[in-house]
Amino acid sequence: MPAAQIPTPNTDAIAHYLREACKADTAQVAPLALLSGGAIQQNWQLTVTIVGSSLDGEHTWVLRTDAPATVASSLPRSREFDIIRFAHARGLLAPKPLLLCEDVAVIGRPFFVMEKLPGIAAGHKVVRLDVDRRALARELALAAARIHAIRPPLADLPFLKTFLARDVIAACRSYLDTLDEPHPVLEWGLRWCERRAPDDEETTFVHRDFRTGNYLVHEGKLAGLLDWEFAALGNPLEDIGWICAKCWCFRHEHHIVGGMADLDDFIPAYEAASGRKVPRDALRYWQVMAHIRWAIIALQQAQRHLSSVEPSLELALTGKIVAELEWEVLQLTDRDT
Amino acid sequence: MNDHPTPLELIHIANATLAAEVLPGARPDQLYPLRMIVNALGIAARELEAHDKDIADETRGLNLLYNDNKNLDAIGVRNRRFARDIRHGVFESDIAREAQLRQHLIVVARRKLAAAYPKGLQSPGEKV
Repeated sequence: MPAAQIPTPNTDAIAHYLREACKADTAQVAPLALLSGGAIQQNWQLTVTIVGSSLDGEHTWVLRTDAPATVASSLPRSREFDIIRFAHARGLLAPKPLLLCEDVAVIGRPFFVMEKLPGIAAGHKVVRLDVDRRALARELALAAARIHAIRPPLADLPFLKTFLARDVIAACRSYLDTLDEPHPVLEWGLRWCERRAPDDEETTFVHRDFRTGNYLVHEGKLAGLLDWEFAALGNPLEDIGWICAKCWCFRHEHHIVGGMADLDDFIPAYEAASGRKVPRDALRYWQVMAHIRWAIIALQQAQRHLSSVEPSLELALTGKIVAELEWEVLQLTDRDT
Repeated sequence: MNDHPTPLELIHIANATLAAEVLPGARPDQLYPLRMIVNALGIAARELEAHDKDIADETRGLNLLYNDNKNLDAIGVRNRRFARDIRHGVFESDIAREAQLRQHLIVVARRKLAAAYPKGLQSPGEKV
């Protein structure tokens, strides 16, 4: 089974589409470059020169489209486009969305085009940046608080699902039930979460992939939030546990907040900005859940390879990350059994 | 029966050759896929090396938990039942049994991590 080559979208087809969509006389597209990140979707740098339209000039945009195989919990591009439009309009540091193309005849898959924000997103680079980590942690805390200040109902995003703790557990179990091989440690972690699930949960807009690797740092400042494909309504502390999970530290777990900062740099700032307390037990609960949910996504990533739709060594190796995640679930929960 | 080298011996020498002769002269764009290949071969070798002992340990742990004396063959079926029982709280009737369950899971998780990412066993997870 040869590894799948990532198919580069056809630049002529994109140029034709952009000329029509921008009502331009001409649209020239330079060869596309695959950008880092986008574990499930693909992000391509799109350099385009437009003539004869209100968008005249050279632009550097991002074309975002599905990978050949995707995972079920990831929203379709049209829905993500709506979420980014919503988030951008609300000042949540999302890139400005520009165009949505659902016609699969253009490049074979739906895609959207958005502005390209400046900065570095790749997690292994971000954790090595020489920046004021405390200041960046405060910016991240503020960004999270702004997202979590938005409460349902959201008339602009009627398709959003709600994922409170028990919903997350049910979704994880539902996926495990589709697999041939059992996962006792993940089942144990889910049972641990079920027995400790909060009785009463706040529900807000949540990013659900709020972590290092999905934000941009430019000149030491937070410059953007990316990858809104998992956004939903849910418990705001899920986002906090997610960015404070060891699995998103990129081997810099001495800075537990995304490999960038310490809890004392982040949690008090979040509490002050959101007016919401983050009890340590609740944080640990959502850290455990974060490792389980990432393990489920890692299993889904491995299935993309195993299904033969998208043969990939990277996806295959992602399945082996589950061992680390299971180990961390057991480490995090070793105080109360 | 096949001749030597065994699959494991072949993986070891293939990986060593890759690391010693190919990686140092690789172009920058080849480094990431080459490192993935080295990593994949390393995991495969460690899993093969430990396979028989791992299955024996896992079977012994399940036999203890279920007060059984089953052989190694049934491990797949038994683990499916085991996962289902965990979900339904079967081991939560008393503290001792729950502790036994957790101990078994630690053994299973440790051996998986020892194959997938041995460095992960060297540093304790940071806790809040």
